[in-house]
Amino acid sequence: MAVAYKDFLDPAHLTRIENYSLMAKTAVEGFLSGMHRSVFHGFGTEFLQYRNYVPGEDLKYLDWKVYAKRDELVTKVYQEETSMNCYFVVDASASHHYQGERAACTKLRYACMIAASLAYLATRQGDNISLFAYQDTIVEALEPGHRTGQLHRFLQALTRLQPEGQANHERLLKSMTHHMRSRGLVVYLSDMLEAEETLPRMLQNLRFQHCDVLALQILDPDERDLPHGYPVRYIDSETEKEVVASADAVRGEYEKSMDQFMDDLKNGYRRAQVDYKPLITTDHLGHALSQYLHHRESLA
Amino acid sequence: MLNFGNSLFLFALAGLAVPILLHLINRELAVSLKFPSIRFIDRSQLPRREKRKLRDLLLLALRLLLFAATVLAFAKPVWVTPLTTVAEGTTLEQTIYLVDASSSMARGNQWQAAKSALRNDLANTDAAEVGLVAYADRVLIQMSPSTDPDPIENFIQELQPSYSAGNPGTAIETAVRLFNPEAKSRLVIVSDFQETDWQRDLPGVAEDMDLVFLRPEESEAPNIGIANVNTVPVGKNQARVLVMVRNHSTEAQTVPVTLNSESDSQEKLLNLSAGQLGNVTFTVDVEEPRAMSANLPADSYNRDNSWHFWIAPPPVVRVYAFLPNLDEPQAVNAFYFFQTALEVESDSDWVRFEVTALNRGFFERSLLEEADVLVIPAAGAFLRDGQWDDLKAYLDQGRTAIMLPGESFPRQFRSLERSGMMASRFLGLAGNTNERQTPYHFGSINPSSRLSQTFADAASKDLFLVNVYKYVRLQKSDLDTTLIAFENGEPALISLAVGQGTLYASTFAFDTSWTDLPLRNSFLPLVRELVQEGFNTDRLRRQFFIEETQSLPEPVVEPSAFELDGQFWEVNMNPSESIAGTVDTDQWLPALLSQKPLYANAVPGAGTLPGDSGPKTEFWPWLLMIALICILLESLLTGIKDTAQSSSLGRPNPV
Repeated sequence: MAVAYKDFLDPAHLTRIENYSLMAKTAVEGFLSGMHRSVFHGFGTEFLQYRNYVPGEDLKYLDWKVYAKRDELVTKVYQEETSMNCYFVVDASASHHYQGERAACTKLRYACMIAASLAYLATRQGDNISLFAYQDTIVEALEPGHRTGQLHRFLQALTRLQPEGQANHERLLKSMTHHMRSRGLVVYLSDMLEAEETLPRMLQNLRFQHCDVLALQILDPDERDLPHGYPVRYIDSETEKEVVASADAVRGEYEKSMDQFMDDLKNGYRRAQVDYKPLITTDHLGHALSQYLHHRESLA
Repeated sequence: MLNFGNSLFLFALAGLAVPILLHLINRELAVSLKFPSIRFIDRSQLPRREKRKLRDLLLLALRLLLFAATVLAFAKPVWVTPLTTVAEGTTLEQTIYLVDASSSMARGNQWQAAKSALRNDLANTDAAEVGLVAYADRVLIQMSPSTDPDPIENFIQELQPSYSAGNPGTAIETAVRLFNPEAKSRLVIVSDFQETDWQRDLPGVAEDMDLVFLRPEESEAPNIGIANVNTVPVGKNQARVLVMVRNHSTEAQTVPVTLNSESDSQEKLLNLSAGQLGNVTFTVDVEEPRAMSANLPADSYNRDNSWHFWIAPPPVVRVYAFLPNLDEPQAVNAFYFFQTALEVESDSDWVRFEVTALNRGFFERSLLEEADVLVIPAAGAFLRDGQWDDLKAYLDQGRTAIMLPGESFPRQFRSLERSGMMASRFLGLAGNTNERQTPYHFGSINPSSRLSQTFADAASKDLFLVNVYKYVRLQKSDLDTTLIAFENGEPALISLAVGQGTLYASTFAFDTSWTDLPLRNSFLPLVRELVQEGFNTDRLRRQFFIEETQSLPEPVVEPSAFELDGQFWEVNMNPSESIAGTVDTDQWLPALLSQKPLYANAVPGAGTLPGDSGPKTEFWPWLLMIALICILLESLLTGIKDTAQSSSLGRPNPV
């Protein structure tokens, strides 16, 4: 039975592939094979002009149609596109360790799969890729580059990530602005919990650095609907604070608060002109990939 | 009536609280869960009481039943038929008198007092039926309960204490079996309750059996008894008699000890402190075997005042040594050492050795017939083919020979191989005569040989310090037995089975150029034990206590010394009957007897053994079956519950 390309992007399927390199290749190639053929042709090179053929040049650059029409040997000249820096920022705080019953992987694993897939796609297109992973400090930092091994180093850094500590968004974004030397695309991956006021403002600052920002919020399905049907002692992953509650009793209020939180985030990002996309760890990776390609195309 | 085999297990029923607590705790505990953020989760009241589901209650009930059934099964409940009245309104009452007729009852006037007490009780008892069991080391008489007490009276009149030690265990078992299981039973034990008799393994009686202990008045008069007599040879015609006497009284005593035989009598005085064991020694002529007795004057217990024994010349073991060549220094040296070791007078051996040297011409079958043990020191090489046959024929009759190597050791060992007497293979010589710096030492003694007993503990130390400078190496065969081995495992002394007899072959000569063994303390016991290994010197005397003769075809009833089938029999009373200590009949003995497993009520009728089938019902198999069913049902219910829970979004991984 043929495998639908969506199957390749299902986190339940991809999370079984331990190796990020293989996972990213599977996801991206699967994703691209499902797209319309002509949409992304021409990436990397751009037609500039014709010039007369000089003997000795490679015949593959001859325009045979012009020769047929005008009986002239002319050569097509292309202009190499300037490569772009793609910054991936991954929040690896302790709250990303959560994995509910319905999810196939933790939130961090999901974020890493998205980062790996987008990085693979970017490398495939000749872009420079860079990585910043942080908790209360920066735990992984990779300078932009596109040479051989950059993707491997990128994926290795992702593999080393362990969800721990509290997220210090402010410190990350301050130190990150020092490292950014040229324009590019920032892909920010986080659950953004308890930061609906600060994060849009801080990411807006990146736009002042001539960067386009794509904010991807990663949440577990449990965080949306609090499904537990029994008394639970909830322990905050980052602060270790506890609250005992019967989910049935507090679910209504919780869902309302979460909706308000998401709305606040959405409005904040809109005001900051930052593209925002909430993702659930059960969503297939196509959402993130298409969002990325959309941005990349607009930048090109 | 419900009884429990292991009633202590019933305490475990307190564990029933555990499943109940678990169920209660399960209902109230919240599951801990690490959650990304609790910012929007408000504290809420837990539901006060979860809806009690029928399934949960059923599960709880099953678990309680499982636990209870298991505990009760281990407690071994037995339903025994309760005592029932024989007729409406009346109960059959039976009394059995258990009379101790062991030798200790003959002390003073205890026996008369015991009989008086028994008669007195018999006259006053309300029991409808009375029975009797008299015992010593075994049950002497058993009379089932009957309404007529006269046979008991008549028997008591005739009964006298035996000379045996007492064994009340079998008597109690017999008495318990004689009771009618439906009767109200009363067991009257008439005994001196001597501790050596009653501190044995005793059977139990039913808890509701009425136990009565009749102890006759103890005699206060002092008692002195003979505990043992030993005899050792002194020279060729005399023996030393060692009489051990114990003072059982609480005061110092001076007692004349007399040694009597048909022809003469000797007497010596002995002073003994209270409780002391003392020895007195006599020297007697032993030209001919004769029965003797050691005696003490009459006291409160006369039976331990005499000891019967035999005095006889020690058996002579004739040892012939083959010395074909007196110019062979090793052979002469070995013979000298052997002769000296064997002719030493020993207090511990009831045996005398006569060592004779045989010249070359005297090694012939007719002469060998007279020898008990044949020694061939460094002379094996001088035996001709015919003489090897003579040696083999001699050994075939069950005799013993000891062979030591000399300078011509290769020829000797090859001849042994060729004659088929030795299965081990001759390999050559180990060790260098000129360099004695690295002597060989013995490493082990065969634990099944008589030598291992002689050289046990400290005595073995000297043997393992013996230096052997050279020895003949043999490739050991499983057919030959190694008695002593060197540290490297090679044989030093082997035992070769030839027909009925045994040939002991040493792999080193008893000569100072081969070893320093003849100069060491261990040489004498080694040689003497080696010679005696094939000659049982204890075979002539047989010593018994009275009760030990009960298993013989013709039991002996009184202490005596007699000759039977060429053997000297010495039968005496067990000195344990002289011990004056008694057991506590107020608390210890009743508690001991009642603590044992019950069977009196469970036995359907007199004469059946405990453990026989009867009107008792064992419940433990049923309880185990209930427990098994509970396990199955519990698994089924738990499975259903888990399935139901997992279908409702399941619980998260606990922290």
